[in-house]
Amino acid sequence: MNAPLVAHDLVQTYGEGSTATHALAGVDLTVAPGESVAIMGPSGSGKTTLLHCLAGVIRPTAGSVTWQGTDLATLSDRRRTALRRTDFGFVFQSGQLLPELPAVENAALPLMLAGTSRVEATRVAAAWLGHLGLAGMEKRRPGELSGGQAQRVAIARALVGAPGVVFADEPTGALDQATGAEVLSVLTSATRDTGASLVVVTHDAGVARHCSRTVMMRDGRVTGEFLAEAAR
Amino acid sequence: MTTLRLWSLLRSRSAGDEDPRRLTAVLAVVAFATATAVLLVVVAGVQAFWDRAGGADGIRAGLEAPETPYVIQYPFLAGIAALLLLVPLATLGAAAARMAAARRDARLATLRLCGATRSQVTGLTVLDAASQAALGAALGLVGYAVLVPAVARLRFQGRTFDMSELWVGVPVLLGTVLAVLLVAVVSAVASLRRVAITPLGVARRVTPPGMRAVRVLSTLGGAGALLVVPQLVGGSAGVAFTVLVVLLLVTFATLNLVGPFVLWIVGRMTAAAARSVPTLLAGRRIADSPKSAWRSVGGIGLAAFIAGLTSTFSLLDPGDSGRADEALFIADLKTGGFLTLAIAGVLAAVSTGVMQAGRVIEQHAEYRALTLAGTDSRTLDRARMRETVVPLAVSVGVATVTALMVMIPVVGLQPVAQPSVVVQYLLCVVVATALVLAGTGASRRVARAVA
Repeated sequence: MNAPLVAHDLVQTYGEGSTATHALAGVDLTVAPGESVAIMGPSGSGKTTLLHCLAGVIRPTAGSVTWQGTDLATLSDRRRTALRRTDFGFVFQSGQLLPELPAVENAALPLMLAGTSRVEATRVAAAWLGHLGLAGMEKRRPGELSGGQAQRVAIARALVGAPGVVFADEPTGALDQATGAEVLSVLTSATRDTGASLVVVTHDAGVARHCSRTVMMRDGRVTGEFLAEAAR
Repeated sequence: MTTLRLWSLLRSRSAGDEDPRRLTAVLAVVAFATATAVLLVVVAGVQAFWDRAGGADGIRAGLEAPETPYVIQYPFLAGIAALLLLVPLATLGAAAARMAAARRDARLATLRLCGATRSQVTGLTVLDAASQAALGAALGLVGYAVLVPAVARLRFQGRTFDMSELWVGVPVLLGTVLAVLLVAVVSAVASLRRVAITPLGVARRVTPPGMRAVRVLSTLGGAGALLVVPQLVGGSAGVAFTVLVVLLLVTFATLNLVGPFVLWIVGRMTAAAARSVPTLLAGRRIADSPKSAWRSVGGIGLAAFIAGLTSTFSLLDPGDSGRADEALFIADLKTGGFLTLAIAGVLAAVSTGVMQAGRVIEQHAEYRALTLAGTDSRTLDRARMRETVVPLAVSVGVATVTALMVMIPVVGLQPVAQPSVVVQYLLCVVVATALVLAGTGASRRVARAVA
């Protein structure tokens, strides 16, 4: 996991002709191993589209995303799906935990999907939940967890498979300020501990401060970037 | 603003084609239309046999005759078939109503946040369900008109039906539409009772309480009744018919009591023993909501029960009868049995498809997140398939045991164990099961659309 994630001249266009919208208009970005990058910008600036391109969720209209030396656009949908399962982790704003599964089984899902036995998957997931401060809550359903606790379960799920990159889309968007800061601290430190890179889409400067680098976007382009104090 | 005006405003601002809410509306309308059309055809059949028997006067005279003519038995048998079909019909109606109420939680919570009262939110749900039921019922009337010529070609009592025989009349048409509306409204309100829609969102999905042991006791009572009631058969045809109806009602009640309980246990066992994600998901979902899992296959349970009863018809050969009217009656009995079974199978398939689609739509956010995170669609398809197959196996098993409990005290063990009976039963169950699995397969399209 020591090769960077590289996006080169990414273009993503929706619609055709006069109604065409350029969500991405030539974005270059490199995410180094172990680096945490915040992507900031106003609504409609292309942040989430960029995240989806980087994670292989969508194929860009033009340009390339290279991970471990492979251009994601050359992979079939099935291979990209498998890649997202094995190499990447995801944390979303909400609606990501299966309501019928207890916390530990939600967190164990990626390992089980990758073929790990259930016993081993739940053991690893329970250890992650404990590491993230949720010891004793393994059997609780998402409906029995607070917003912050549910996001910690989502973080455990994102990290349980030891991914190379964790993608987070507004991970604190549905939380109050104090809980959001707490969750973000857990996310960044846990990701750093595993050596994974972190890409966070946010419109919150407070979130960006937790990352080593911040990339600013507007109208589908990168308009600037700066390093956090600690990284300089 | 009145609830009606608010509802009308929201409808006029309805979302685009890709919104799952529109998909749910289409599925709900299709389910309501199917239920209405089939209900009308079934009522038309009962009415036609009633008229052929000479109406109330003719039937009364026939029952008082020293030997009840076969023509008198047709309306009773058709009535029993209609009674058997009432359960899958009601299940389909309720499934449609739940579909009509699906995916509105977030919208209703937002309305509560904006100041809508609880009664306004309930009113909006009722109006949504009722409007879709009304449209579905209207389409069902068209479906009835389309089906009647096909039904008229069926031969009973040695002749096909006249179209006029299958015309149910305006009062029945209106009554059916009203009944469908009533089922829709009651089910929609019942589905709202299970969630607390507050301005801060929708609260639910905590660890569900277990099934209560009272179900086991009630089931034992029902089973006892099944063994005792058939012994009361005797005397006039009217008494025999009443006993039969009571027997069927007890059977339905027993099936619906024991089914969810057995499913709850099987779901927990499945989840505990699961080694793969699809099996784990299926087991947890079944144990989470055994009643809804049972509802989604309850129709097939009933179809299996009907298949059990009608399988003994294979022992009857019209050629063995010395009397022409008896030979005709036996042949018609077989046709009617198969027809009832076929309708029950189709209704069960539509119910399962609609319920599965509704579930997918309700959980579309989780499905989408799982898909983005690299869960391939086959895993989700397998989970949904197992979520149907496990209850399906349980329902067929429970229905088979129940059918045996009903039949053995009446006809004995020997006819039931005949190879021809067993083969016919298995064939019917396989076909009905295939229909239900096809219904589940059809819900894949919905899963693709929302993921």
